[in-house]
Amino acid sequence: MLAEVVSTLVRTRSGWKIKRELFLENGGILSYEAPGAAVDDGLVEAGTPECRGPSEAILYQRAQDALVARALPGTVQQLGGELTLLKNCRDAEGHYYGAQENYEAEIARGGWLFAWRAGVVALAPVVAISCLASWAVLAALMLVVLAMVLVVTAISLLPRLERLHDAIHPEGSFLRVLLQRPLAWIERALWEPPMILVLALYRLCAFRELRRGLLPFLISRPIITGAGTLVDDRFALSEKAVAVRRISRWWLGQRGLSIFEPGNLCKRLRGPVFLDFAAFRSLFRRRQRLQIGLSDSNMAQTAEYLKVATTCLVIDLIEAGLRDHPHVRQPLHALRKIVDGDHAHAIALQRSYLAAARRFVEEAPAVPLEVSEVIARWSTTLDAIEHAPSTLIGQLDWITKQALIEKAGVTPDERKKIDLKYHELETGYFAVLEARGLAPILVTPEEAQIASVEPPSTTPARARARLIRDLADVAKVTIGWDRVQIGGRIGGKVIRLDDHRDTSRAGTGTPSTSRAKS
Amino acid sequence: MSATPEPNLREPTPSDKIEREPLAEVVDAVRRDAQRSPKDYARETIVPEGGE
Repeated sequence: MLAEVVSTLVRTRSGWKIKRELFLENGGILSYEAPGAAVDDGLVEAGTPECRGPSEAILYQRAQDALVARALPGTVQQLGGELTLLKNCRDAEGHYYGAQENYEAEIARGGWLFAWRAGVVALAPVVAISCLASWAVLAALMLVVLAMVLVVTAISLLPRLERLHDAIHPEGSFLRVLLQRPLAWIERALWEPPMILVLALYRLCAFRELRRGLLPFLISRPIITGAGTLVDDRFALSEKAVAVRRISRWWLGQRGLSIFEPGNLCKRLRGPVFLDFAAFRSLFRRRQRLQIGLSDSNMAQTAEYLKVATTCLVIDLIEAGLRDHPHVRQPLHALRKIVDGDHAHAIALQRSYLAAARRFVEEAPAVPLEVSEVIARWSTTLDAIEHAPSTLIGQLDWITKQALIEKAGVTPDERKKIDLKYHELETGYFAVLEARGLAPILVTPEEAQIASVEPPSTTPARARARLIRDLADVAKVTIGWDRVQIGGRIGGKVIRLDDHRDTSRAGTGTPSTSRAKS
Repeated sequence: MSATPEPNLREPTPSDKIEREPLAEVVDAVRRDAQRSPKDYARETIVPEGGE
């Protein structure tokens, strides 16, 4: 229903139906993520279009927030009752979900790039075998489903057996419930072996230097970007960090969050199953999408801007050859200590990267003005965390939320409500602070409104947005991140959006293309 | 030239600095609201199957 109302506010076009995707006029996306039978227990996901740099990223993040918030009254009118949207990463039972960041970066150089590409070629036959096995199993399952439909229909037609029918059909989704687990097991059995090899290849070759250089930065970053959360009434710096179990996953089915998520590369290896061979070919590109799972959903615009801006800058530093970055012997242990209150270590690590950024700017022949602004803002924020944290109320989420919890929460239940309701779009506690002028605004509502219908001008989002507009009268169009399909899969026309990528990078210090999801 | 607006990334001005009275008013409002059915709120915002 929310998607229907959004479609009355901006032009939209469907993506892949199975993923319930809705692409927006500005090139971004809304989707509804719900596993299997739990159709009513899903999440609204909003992804910005691809952006070039932190200013654009925060502009489009705010445009997404404002758009879904604008759609709420219409949705309530249609559904009745009460409805609110929380932009957060952790609920009262500790389930985690939400923000991810994606940055375009060099996957490898020299011998490691060769090894990555050779590994992808070597894995191609394994993936092909899994594809064929999947199709064979699916065909067999279709026959089983057909037989089950016939049996259930026969049972439904016999009134005396109604009780039996109710017993096996308790929530009106007998087949779905019955098949969900076996399908998941079969999928895992078929895909896990090749994916274990792919994940091993990722850990060995992909973003090798970048992951090594970024790790101490990412585990200390929550001191600026953390949204704060209560775990058993104890305050922790970051919603996502408390769920982190590893640096990078070893197999797909592993529980718990990873700091680096290679999911998008794994999905592209599965492209041939869906006759998307271009997705497989794209794995050979030098520049790929680095996906970061350790990321909180920020309400404070300053925190959100610094999150993307400092990360872009550190990626550029590492790609430009930074090797004297700090090293942390036990990064997950250090992360847990930082999240539980070891702020001094986090600040020291951040200051080390800040110093490297300053040296980088001094030595570079020319850097964009925004880089100097980012460094200044980063520096003053770290100073304030150390010496006057209360001045950052309204600017950093964890400091703001902690202040509200300490000043306004009496019982553990009240404190937890503050932790959660802080994140309500438009009506939450942070929104109240913002409305009262107690939180700096970097993107105005007018700017966000314009960005909800205008795409970024130098990324594939521009071509996607133009096609959404130009093909408004064409009946069968499927929009995707990498391609737009006109007509059916067989005989239809495919427009690759990568062909519209602006590959120019204006020297060192240019922020990377990034995409955020919340 | 793109029609996309450049975001207004200005430095916080003195008016952005936290003023004590408005903050105290917000804290009062949060305190009152947090007392209203906090357990229900927590329960209604659970994502039982949607988490990763």
